[in-house]
Formats: sequence, structure tokens, C-alpha cells
Amino acid sequence: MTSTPAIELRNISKIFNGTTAVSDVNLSISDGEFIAFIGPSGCGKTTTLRMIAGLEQPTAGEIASYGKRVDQLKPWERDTPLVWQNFALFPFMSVAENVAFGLKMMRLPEAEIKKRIAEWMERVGILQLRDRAISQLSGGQKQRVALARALVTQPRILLLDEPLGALDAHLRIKMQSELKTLQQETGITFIYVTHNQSEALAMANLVAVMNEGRIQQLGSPNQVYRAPSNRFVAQFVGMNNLIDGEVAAIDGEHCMIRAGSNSFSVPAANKPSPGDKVTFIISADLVAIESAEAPQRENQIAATFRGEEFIGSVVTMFFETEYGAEFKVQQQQRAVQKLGLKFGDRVNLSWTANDSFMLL
Amino acid sequence: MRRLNAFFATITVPPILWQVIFFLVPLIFLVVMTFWSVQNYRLKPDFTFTNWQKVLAAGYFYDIYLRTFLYAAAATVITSIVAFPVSLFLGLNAGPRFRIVAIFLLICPFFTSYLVRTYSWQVIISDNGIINTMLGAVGIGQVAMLNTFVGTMIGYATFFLPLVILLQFASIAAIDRDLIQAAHNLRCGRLRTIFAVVVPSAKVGLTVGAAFAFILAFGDFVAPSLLGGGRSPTLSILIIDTVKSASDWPRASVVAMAMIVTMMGVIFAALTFAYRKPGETH
Repeated sequence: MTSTPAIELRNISKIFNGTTAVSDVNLSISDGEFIAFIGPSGCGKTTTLRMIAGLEQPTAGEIASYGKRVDQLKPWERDTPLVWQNFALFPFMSVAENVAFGLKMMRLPEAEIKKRIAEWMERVGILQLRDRAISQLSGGQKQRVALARALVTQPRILLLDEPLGALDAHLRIKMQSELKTLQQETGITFIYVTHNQSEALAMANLVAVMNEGRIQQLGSPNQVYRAPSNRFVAQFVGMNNLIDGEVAAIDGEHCMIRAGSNSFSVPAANKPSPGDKVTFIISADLVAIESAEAPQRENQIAATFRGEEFIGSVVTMFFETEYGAEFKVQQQQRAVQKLGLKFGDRVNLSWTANDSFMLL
Repeated sequence: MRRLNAFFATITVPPILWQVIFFLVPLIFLVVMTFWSVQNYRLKPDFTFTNWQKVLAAGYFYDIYLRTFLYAAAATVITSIVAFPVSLFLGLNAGPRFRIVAIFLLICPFFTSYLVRTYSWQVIISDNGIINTMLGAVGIGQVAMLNTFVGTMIGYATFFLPLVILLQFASIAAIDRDLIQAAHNLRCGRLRTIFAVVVPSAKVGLTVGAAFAFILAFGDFVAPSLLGGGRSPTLSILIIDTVKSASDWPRASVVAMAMIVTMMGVIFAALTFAYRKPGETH
């Protein structure tokens, strides 16, 4: 590890025909980091990645890599190979020729090229496909070819643009752990763009949540998941319920927030004063469901069961409350079965004060 | 099921019928005629190999065949090379509006007859023509172009350069831009990308364009006779002479057969090359 950042973005902006795609982004990515940019489509994450690769010119700002300015370099003068969402493999070349492409461009001796491509094809498990045409490969195999083609040049930084986006769910999970292992073993700085938050949270050590061309939050997966810095992050990352209210009283570490007919105790991390309008969140997986007759607790609201959605063994249940029609609660499928709820059933939802989080 | 068969019959039978009546039957007739004889300038159905023997034994036939082949090959290479930068610009760099105007301008020449366009070249490239007059004005002596190889090549280009550009352009415009960017991303500079990515990606269009150029040049009569002067005859000039001077349709048919076989061979080779898959050579 060196102390100079692998990539430094200084006041980077990009405007396309009057539309701002990236707006004044400042970011320093350390050597060996696995950073994921997440955000909805059009948030500027891919544009940021493409500017690092040189495929897009910033409208303003500077980009430095290991202390050297690179924003004026042509894409082919940079050392930032990209793994494309659609793989962008050369269909008129065999697997081995695709992998060898970057090395040929570097004009390495033939023997060295042979050795290195064999090494990397072996490593990502495509050695037996070396003479195949690209059209004969499955999505997962293409992904591996794309990875080998980028990594064989031994870059210090690897850019990945939704690399698992075109794969089916099962393969995606498998590739996630492989990518993570690969990053840890090689120590290469991974800059990863995805709209899939679970992918980002599972792999990256650092997550940059982007919206409307700006970085909304930069932090560890746990930070962006449990302590979102604003309303957008709270809604985009994880599955949070947002409740708007007014601070009624402060009681040491907690404050009482009045919202509609209820009042809630919320940790007062950011020192609000009584009368402040605030928003707090409670994550869907931290909410308990009890019968409407259960004894009164703090942080409790009345709700009506309206719908459910299954993702594997986890069920997301939707409740109608005075705060809206889609209060979300996530539980294990087993636990939900035990409850035996029917649509229209009235229940109480509650949570521990320390599990809620006030937005700044 | 029966209705489905009727449906397929109605859509497949007419083109097949067309091909049979207007291509296959005349072709068979052409083959048959190569075995006929001519007596007193009149065709006589026969079964003789004399026509084949006479044509294939004549030294001039091979000279003319070779010349025609080389002319066509030269025209193919020259027009492909001249067309390529234009196609490249239209396919990759030109804006949508410029492109439409350019395509329109490329189609325009086909509004007028090829023959008329070829005659107008005579005015431009003859010894007293526009170009030589201008060259003379700046003190450069006369450059012979009309009735030379250069004249023939200009004629061929008039004939099919726009077509070659359109064919090349269509396949270059269809290239996945990500491939070009992926090459740049892997340290491949701009010029190298053209040869490493653009040319192989557009291989089908480039090859079909070249094949068209070859076929049209190989069978053309106008350019070599009106701009090439006809003193270095090509196979089509030979056919016309054989028919005109001797009414020897059977011998002309033999020459025509040689042309058809050559063109078929070239198309077959071109298509095999164009659609060869990567990895198949290993």
C-alpha cells in the first residue's frame, strides 16, 4: 500500500448538452480499496467511472492517479482497464486472442504474452475455452473472459461497470464472492459501479451513494445501511421506513418526537432542540409485529396488513399506518408463517428506541 | 397444417419461379449453345466441342482473361481503399444530419445512366478536356488519361464507388461502439483500433463491397471501351466483338461461361471469407 491515493477526483463535473451528469465530486480512493458506487440510473456513477477511464472528458475538475494528473491523457495512455456490463468482447477473436489483446497493444514479447494469458485464463477458470469463439460462450464464461482480459495487463486499478448485471441471480452471487476474493488476493484497487445495493454492500469496503450527480454519502457498507446521512440514502439503501415529526422534548441521550397521534423515543445523536422538524428512520428488519391487543409499549403504531412479497426466505410485509400505505416490515418466512396474518388484520408494530436513527 | 403449407407455397413459389425462368433457363440455354455451331452466319443446333477447343486454345483469350481479372482486381482494391476513409467518417464520426445528406448524395449518381456519366468523363479527362486545359494553364504538360488504364479505373469508380461506400458505411455504422472504446481502454490507439477492431468488425460489409466491385468491373463493357479506349480489350469487349463481327454466338457463350464461373468462384470465396468464424482456423 502506498499513501498516495490510487484515484483522486478534484471538483469533477460533467455536463452533457446542458444536463449535469456529475456535479462537483471530490473523492479520494486509497490504494487497494474496493469502492462501490451505487445509485439509481442517471445518478452519474457510470459517467464518473468513464471519466476515470478517460472515455469521457470532465467538463471541469482534475483527476489524479497515484499523484499524477491523468485527466488530459487519452484513454489508451491510461492504466485503468474496464470490465463492461455487456462484456464488450471482440466477437471476431477467440477467447485467447481477446485475453491477449491488451498485452499485444503493450507490445510484449510473444512468449511473455502466452505465459501471462495462460496464467490468467487458468486463474479465472477459462483455460479449456481458449480456442472457443465468443459466440459459443455462456454469460458467466464471457464475464470471466472480460475479467481475464482486463487483469492480464496487471493494472493497479480495475474499473467495473455493472459487471454482474447481465448474469442470472444464482451466478451473480457466485461471482460476487469470486470477485471479492480476487480483489483481496491481488490487492488491486477495484472501482465498482452498480445499481444493485446488495451487491455493493456484500463486496465493497467503501460505498459511495450517488444521486443527481453528487455523492450523497461515503462510508462503510454498515454506515450507509444503518446510519444514512440523508433522506435519499435512507430510501435508496436498505429498506427503511421514514417518519417525519417534531422534537417535543430531550431526555439525555434520547429525544421524544411527536408525529401524528404517536410519540417516539429516538437516539438524539445530532443534538436537536425542541420544536425542530426532524425525520427518523426505522429499518424494516428491526420492526416487531404483535397482536393489536398486546400491552402498550413505547415506539408503537397501529397498522393494517395489506400485502407481502417474498425474496427467498425473507418476506417483506406491507402495512397501512397513519404514516402511509407502505410501512415495511421484513421477517424470516418461518416467523411470518407462525403469525398467520390475513390481509386486513389489525396489528401493532413496535421497535426498540436504539434501533431507530435520526437523519441529520 | 395444409393451410400453412399453402401459405409457404404462395410466398416461396413466385421467387423460385422467377429465378428458374429468368436465370436458370437462360443459363442452361447458354450452356447448351456453347455446343452449337454456326453456318453461314446462322446458328445451328449441334453437339460439338469445337467452340470450347477454339476459345481455350487461343492465346489471346488468356491474355484478355488475365487483363480483365487484373483490371477488376485493381478496381476492387482502389475503390475499396478510396471508399474506406469516407465510410469510416460517415459511419463513426458524422452527425446524423450530415449522414443523411451524404447518403442522399451517394444515391444521386444512380439517377442518371451510367453510360451518360461515363461519356461526361470523356469531356473531363480527354487530351483537350477540362483537367488538361487547367493543367496547361498552370504550365504542366498534357497528361494522357482518356484511353488509358487510368481512364478505365475512373470509369469503374464512376460505376460503383458510391455503392462500395454505402456497403462499407452500413457495416461500419453497425459496429458496437463499446468495442471501439474497449480497444481504447486496452491501450489501443486510434489508428491501431481501425485495423484491430473496425476492419474485422466490418468484415462482412467490406468484403461484400469488394465482391460487388469485382463483379461489376469484371463484367463491365462501358468503362474499358469508352474510357479505356477499347484497345486493351476485356472479356465483355471480346464477347461483343465475337457476336458483332462473326455472329458467333456459341463462341461468345463459351467466353460468357468463363466469366460466370469466375464470378461465382469469387463470390463463393468472398462469402466464405466474410463469414468465417473466429477460432476455426486454429
